[in-house]
Amino acid sequence: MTGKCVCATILILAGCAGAGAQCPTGTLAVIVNRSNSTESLSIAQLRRILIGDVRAWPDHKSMAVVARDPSSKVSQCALSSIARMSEAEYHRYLMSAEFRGDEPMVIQTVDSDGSAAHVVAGSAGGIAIVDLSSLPSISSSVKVVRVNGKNPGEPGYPL
Amino acid sequence: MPFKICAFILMVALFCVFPANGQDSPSQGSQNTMITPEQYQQLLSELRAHEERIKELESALGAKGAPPGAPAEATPKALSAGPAPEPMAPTAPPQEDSGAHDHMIRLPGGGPVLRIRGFADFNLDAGQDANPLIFPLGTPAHTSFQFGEFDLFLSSNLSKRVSFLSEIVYGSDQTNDWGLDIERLEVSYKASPYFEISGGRFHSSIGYYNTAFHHGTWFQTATGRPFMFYFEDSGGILPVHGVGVTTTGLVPHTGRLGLHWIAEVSNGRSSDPSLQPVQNFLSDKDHKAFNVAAYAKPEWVPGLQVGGSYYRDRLVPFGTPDVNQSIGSFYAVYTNSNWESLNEIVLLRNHPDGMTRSFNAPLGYTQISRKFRSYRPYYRFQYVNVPAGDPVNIFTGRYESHSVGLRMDFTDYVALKAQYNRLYQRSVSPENGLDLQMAFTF
Repeated sequence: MTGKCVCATILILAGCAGAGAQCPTGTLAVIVNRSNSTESLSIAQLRRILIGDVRAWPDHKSMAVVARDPSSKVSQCALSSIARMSEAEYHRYLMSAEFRGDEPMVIQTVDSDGSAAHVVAGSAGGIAIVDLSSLPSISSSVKVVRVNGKNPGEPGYPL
Repeated sequence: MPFKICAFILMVALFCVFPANGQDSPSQGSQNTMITPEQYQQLLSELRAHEERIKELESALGAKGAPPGAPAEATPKALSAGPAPEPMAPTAPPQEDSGAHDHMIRLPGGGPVLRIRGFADFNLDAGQDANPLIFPLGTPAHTSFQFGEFDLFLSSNLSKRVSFLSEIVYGSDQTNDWGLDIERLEVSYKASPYFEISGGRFHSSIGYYNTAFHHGTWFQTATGRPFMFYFEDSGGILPVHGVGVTTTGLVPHTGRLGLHWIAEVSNGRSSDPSLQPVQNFLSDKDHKAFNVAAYAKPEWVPGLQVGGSYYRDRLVPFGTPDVNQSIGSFYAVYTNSNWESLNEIVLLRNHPDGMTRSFNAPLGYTQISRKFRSYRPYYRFQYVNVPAGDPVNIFTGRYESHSVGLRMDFTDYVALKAQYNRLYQRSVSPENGLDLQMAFTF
């Protein structure tokens, strides 16, 4: 009887689940410095970059993660689509990593995609996730990388 | 922020217009331009007046240009929707953020930045098996309000490669006295992603829980650690702290597997259970304990971590034969933002010299939880079985416990937890306990 009650409670709670930022695909782009030889990144690689598991490019250049301000939709969608976390969960994750003794992850926060592109253009290891609609105005200064082998706008592009 | 840029430009302009030291033509190339306090105040008041004027203009412009209730963030458009009006030039200087909103202390004149984070918890316990920190209590349990641990986590980068962390815990125990412990103190040198060495007092890399969670209960889903990972001074049977040297790194060319190695040398646990179990200052033997571990975080299954460790020490209890202690562990853990599944098994083996028999103690737990918005119900089963007559373990007997609980993240940094425990021990009637906990970080 107790077991049934527990199961029923869990099912009811499960019915309440599924909330969170819903971000349609085809809205985000990943930009890096033009000198970066990386052409494509997978979602799994992007996740590892965002959560600090990967801190260097294959050529050993240090990564410089540039993020939009946490309240922006770009930032929330990037976390939700790639890291599968809300902003609060992401902060908790980073705190937890630091508490474990990992090197604290330094993120440069900017307030626009233009600023993100500016910082990435000036940093050899820079990487940022920006709104796809900003690309026409910023793509001349940075390089857009493919995600899971797809260019932005191609069918199957995951962001 | 256009306002900040305007203010900055205005300030620069003011300094250009007004001679810095009150002379008509300052000496060329002079780096020691002086400004009198009166001039400074005058500039400041002028700057404030201009700031007010800019604010007025901005608010007037905003009221004119933006319809009421317009969203602050433009809706994302398709690539073909045309260029976005965002400027290329930065509108505000980038802010460096550790990502974790730490409190930081910077000393004037430079020096390392000290980051501080605090954790604390407050409990209401009812029942014999309610306490989340100590087992056995050694005294009949009464319903109690309990102040848990006040934990200050301090860290600092001393250079690009050298860092420091410490965890200072102030807490009480069943005597109701307060005690201060430096639970962790590590200085680390990170040569590369493949090699990092730390010295000091650390949490031994035995299993997963011991290095994933430390003293702040806010990080933990449940109200306390599994019994097998209790701290030595709280009834724990494993050497969860080590004083010595620990090294770790990524195994080269295992990028997608994410394979890491760990090797540790430490004083090991005190051979005399009646003494301070962590040998902070003096060791009771010349030889050292060592621990090797490895874990993988495969890229193709985000959230999965699989690992194991092997610890070996030789204890020298007074008046009884020396004991070879070995501890093997294996774990498989899966965590993402919704699910948490922790599964660990440990075999603790004590073999006294001259005896054919070894004392094998299997330890293990499994914990599963699922997040539903702010709520996270969880279940934990744990099993510890230490044979009677074990020459060094402070706990002998069977400990089998089922716990169900609910964690609610009341705010981003405050968690409320309710946990019910049912404990089965050999030759003892089953015991129950209810622990209500508020855990937070500050």
